Amino acid sequence: MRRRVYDRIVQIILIAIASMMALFLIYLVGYIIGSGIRGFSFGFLTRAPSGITQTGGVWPMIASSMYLIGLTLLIAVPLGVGGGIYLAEYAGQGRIVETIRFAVDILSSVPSIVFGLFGLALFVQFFGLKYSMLSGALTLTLMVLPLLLKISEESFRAVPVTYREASLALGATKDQTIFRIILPTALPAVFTGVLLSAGRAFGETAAVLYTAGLSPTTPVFPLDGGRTLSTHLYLLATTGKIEESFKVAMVLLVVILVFNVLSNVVISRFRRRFIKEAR
Amino acid sequence: MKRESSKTLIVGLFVILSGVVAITAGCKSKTDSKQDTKSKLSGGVRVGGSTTVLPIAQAAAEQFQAKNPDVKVEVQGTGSSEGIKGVTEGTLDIGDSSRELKPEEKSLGLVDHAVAIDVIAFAVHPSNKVKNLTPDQIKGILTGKIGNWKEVGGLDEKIQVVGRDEASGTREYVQKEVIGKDAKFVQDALALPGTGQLKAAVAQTPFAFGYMSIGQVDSTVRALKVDNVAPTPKSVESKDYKYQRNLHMFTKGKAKGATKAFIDFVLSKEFQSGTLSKEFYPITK
Amino acid sequence: MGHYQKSSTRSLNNGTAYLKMRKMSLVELVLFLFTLTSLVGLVLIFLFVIKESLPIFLKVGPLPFLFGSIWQPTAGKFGLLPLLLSSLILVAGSIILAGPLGVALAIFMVEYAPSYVRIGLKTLVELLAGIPSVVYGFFGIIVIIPLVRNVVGGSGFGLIPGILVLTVMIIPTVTAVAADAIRVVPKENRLIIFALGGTRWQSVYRGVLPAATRGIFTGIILAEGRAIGETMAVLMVLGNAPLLPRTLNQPASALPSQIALDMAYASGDHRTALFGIGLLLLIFSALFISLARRVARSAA
Repeated sequence: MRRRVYDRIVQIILIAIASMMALFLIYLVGYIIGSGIRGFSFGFLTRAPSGITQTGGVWPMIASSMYLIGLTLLIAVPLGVGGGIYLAEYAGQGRIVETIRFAVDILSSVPSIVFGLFGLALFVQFFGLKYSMLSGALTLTLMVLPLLLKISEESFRAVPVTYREASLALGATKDQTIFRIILPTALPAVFTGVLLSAGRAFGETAAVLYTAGLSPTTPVFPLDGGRTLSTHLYLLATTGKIEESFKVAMVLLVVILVFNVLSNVVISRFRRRFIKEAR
Repeated sequence: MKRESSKTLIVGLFVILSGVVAITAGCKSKTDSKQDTKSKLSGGVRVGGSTTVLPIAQAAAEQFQAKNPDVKVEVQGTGSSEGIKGVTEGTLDIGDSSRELKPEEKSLGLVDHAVAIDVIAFAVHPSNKVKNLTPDQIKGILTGKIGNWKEVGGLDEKIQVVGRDEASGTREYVQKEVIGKDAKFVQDALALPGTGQLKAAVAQTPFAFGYMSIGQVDSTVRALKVDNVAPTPKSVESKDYKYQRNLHMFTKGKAKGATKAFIDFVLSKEFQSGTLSKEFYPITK
Repeated sequence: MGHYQKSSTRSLNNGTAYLKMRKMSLVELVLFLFTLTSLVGLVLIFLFVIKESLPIFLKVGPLPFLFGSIWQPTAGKFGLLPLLLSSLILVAGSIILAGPLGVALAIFMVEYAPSYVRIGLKTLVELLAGIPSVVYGFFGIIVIIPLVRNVVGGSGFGLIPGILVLTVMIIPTVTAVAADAIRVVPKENRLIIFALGGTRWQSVYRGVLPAATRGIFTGIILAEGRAIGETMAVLMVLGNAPLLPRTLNQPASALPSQIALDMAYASGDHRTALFGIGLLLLIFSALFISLARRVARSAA
């Protein structure tokens, strides 16, 4: 009897913890979006900040964030997806491959501020790229690479072996099999990796603060500096422009939410397609 | 291994190269657009430097460009030293600075245009009984020699100093002009990365003491008198309130053309009292 | 899934071996080079950070640098102890809170919750992990700091809000890894306990948790790695006074946040000292990840 009571108590505690977490998240998201939506107009997204207080718009920051993400993905996706193909389809169990895997793991754990420090020293100063989109993108590339590699490798591995066998049996070469059969099949799952990387790059501040810079201007060329939306939130929040901060925080949250939902939809479709064969 | 890393180097170089190509292409199109119509003002002005001056430069650029659509004003905020370096090397037309030139920068041929006055206020929580301090008391509080409000006529409560991080020009000013170059701020002083956060901390902490630009002071905090002089437009103009500094725009040699027109606009009465006065003190000639 | 993967890679590897005997195709070479960028990048990071930080170790000496008790870079005093201790307290404090909470959430998700609740919680955890750290920092400024100020007094800035913000940020890591570990425990482990007349909690406590211990610890170690490197959120709530921590209710400064605070203007020895902190963080995170790998591997 006592055991039953004990069992019940544990269950109640667990439910309490889970609901507490859920409530907390709802509170956090609700509070920020609820406060941010007050006085929010669509023009906030398309205007530049103006006046002596430099508030009222975030267009240059949105442009900088998109530019930076675009440039990062342009460099990181070929490297990450290509690397994922290699690890899944070509790599053996050799020592070099083991070393690479270990390096990828370590790289994934490097604190973002260290990436920032490194980017400042190498790209900004040593290569003389200044505070620029390019410096920021090269730094972010290193940061998102492990994630991209891992997800692409998993995606390729999830493609059933029968696909390969069928292709090879029809006389296709290995390279043909990979690029004509496996890559298109795994593409949706690879795409979630790209989305997650974009989301990470979007929210990152410490690594871009002193590589992409703080300049609240709209970048045009890769060597132009710019201020990302998350950097903007940091500056607004610490300079005490709370109302404006809520709006920017809301924009950040909504974008992250969209990224999450999108990648979940894509990955669940992919899973549903292969779930029988893969288990 | 060697061959492989050199391959990656090539990839890296390629990326950089494509960037460079894009830049040169960009520069070309820029010079193309520089058609000189003599009657109207045209061309470009590159402004950069101090982040304190940044909002002034940006607000001025917006209004100036509205009036002179043929002039493109590019504004960047990187830091006072970078502004001075940029204008010296010619990558900027105007270098913004929240500090005076250092001795080694005096010989660079820069012309100073003071564009605004930044007044440093010492602020406490509105409920604090202390209304007035002497410069020595302020120094004592900031350096930790005075640690309790009762030593300066307040309640028996510990003083919490709220300050800025070392990148701040305001902190640099307080270091130099208030506590002295070699003195140290009290160890447990907060070092907050932004001036608004600093004001919020003072506004919400009953026994806090902080320094901030006068533009930040509103009803949530109270600026102290120093030697019985409150920071007001009058006392600032007469220099009776002595904690003030000029914000500068430097040009290499005398300002010319669009650059001169831009600085003239910043100094115009319209801009000084219409816009700038909302956050800073207008420069008085 | 795991079983399938093994067989697929094996058959592929045979194919690779066959190809390798002839020649590495151009495609393979290029892909290999792409893979190599991670390694090259990591080596570059280590080399650069070591190179840039070397002068401070030579000038101040490694021991006085690491364990000196005064950090006043503009006065030429480079002692990391206040930052180091604060960072360790932040990591310890947040893991003490996030460990049990995160594991409890994982147990509830896998063992108790009906499937729609589980999917909801999984989305929740992913969202928590995806929220940018500046948003957490902002939340810390507007909600947690006033709360701390009202409850314990003082300015509100300091270790307490730091620990609270970090706790929220690392719970997803603990939960995600722990839930994976619990999920893969064979059904039999639970069934045996039930067959002996055990309750559900007993099946979890006796049957599941012992088998998942290593996985859970992997999650906790990874979370510690995340906590020690977290910068922006901590920077915004800590107060950034480089004091030796004596109580929890005091302003403090941590290793990563000090870098972010000073990086903009630091020059000379100060700059190299920041790279020294960077090297320390690199070593910490490499240690945590190696430990996590080792623990995870010995579990398999």
